[in-house]
Amino acid sequence: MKSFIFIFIFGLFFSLHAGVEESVTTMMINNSQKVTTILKDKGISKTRQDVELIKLVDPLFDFNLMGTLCLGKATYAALSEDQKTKFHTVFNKKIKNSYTGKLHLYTDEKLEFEKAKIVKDKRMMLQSYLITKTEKKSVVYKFYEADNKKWLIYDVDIFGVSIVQTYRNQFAAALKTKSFEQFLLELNTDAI
Amino acid sequence: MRIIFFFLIVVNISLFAADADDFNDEFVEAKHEPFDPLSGYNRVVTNFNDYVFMHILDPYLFKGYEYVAPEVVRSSIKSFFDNLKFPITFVNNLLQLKFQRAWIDVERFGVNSTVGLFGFFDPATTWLGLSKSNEDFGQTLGYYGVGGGFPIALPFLGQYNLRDLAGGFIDMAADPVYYQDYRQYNLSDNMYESWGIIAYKNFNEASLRANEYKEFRKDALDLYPFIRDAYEQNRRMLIKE
Repeated sequence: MKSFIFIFIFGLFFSLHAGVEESVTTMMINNSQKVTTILKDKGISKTRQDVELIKLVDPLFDFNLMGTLCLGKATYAALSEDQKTKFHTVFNKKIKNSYTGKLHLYTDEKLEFEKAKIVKDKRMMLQSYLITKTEKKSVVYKFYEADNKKWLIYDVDIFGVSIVQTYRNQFAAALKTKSFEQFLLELNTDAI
Repeated sequence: MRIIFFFLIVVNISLFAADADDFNDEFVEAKHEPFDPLSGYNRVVTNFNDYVFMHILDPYLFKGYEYVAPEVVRSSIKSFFDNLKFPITFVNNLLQLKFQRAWIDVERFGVNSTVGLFGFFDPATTWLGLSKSNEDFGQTLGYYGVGGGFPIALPFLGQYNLRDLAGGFIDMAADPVYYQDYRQYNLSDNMYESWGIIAYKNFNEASLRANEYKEFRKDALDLYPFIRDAYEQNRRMLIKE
């Protein structure tokens, strides 16, 4: 009897986790199919496509957390509430434009997903591959479990290049020589 | 029994416990600039490469080339050159003790050189699911713990680091596209032809990646450190694979 209960509890413990991994994977597969449908719809303008794409990806990402991570804990903590609000507005717009811009590059390519894996406490990684005509490129989505038990993306490694890490390095370098207001202005425009 | 139950509950709770504070540990602090003694030169070369790309290659040469060679043709040409990389990927897979990958390289080369018409097509991937390796001697050095060294940007060729540049010279010894006097197999008859073929190979490949480059450069606040950083991250992933 004891061993039966043990197996039951043990099984329940792992099935709970396995269920989460599967549901995140399924959600991303369904989402990528919807993204492809929008990108292939020649009947709507690019601007309209972007609006639809943002509607789809918005609930999957925690853009505010991404922005905070890009600035770094200490820098973010030193900002006033007004500066934080302005930063999130500018950063969220930039990152959404950047992400949808990249989606437009791969209209005809296939995205293959492996099953998501819990890598540590409240963190999950979903390995996917972008299959082009001549290459197989790695895209890794990094999720965390938010307070509402929802799994949200906080970083994406595109061909091994982390969005957060890359912005983090750039932001740190920019803030060494510029005021926060100048930096924000630069972030709000196409810098180069 | 109670102990086991208690243990499982504790483990379960700890796995899902809220701990939003450790995100910063996952990312490298960017307080210190990386060792980059050639940064001034690298910045000039990167801006030169970007200028050539954005003002000459993309609007004129790529547009003309795309007109005469549609994407399907350019992809086939890239596949042809990729197939010729077989000696490099095979040797480097062996050096990194990836024997299964090395065998897949042999299978891929056999299938693509015959059924795939000298490598212009890639039935090894599309029909047999044998995916392509991306290995070079820079990665082999990295696999054995050799650090990247300082970054070096090359005119027309782009970003490297010292390790990968040195690795590239070693790979030339096995690459049939690079003419070598002492070798039986060469794609060209002499060094001059060889450089022409290499220039065309790089031009063809760059034309396929033009839109990707234009999109990714939009993420840069300052182009050179952005490219340097992205290059290093990408190489770290390739070495880990």
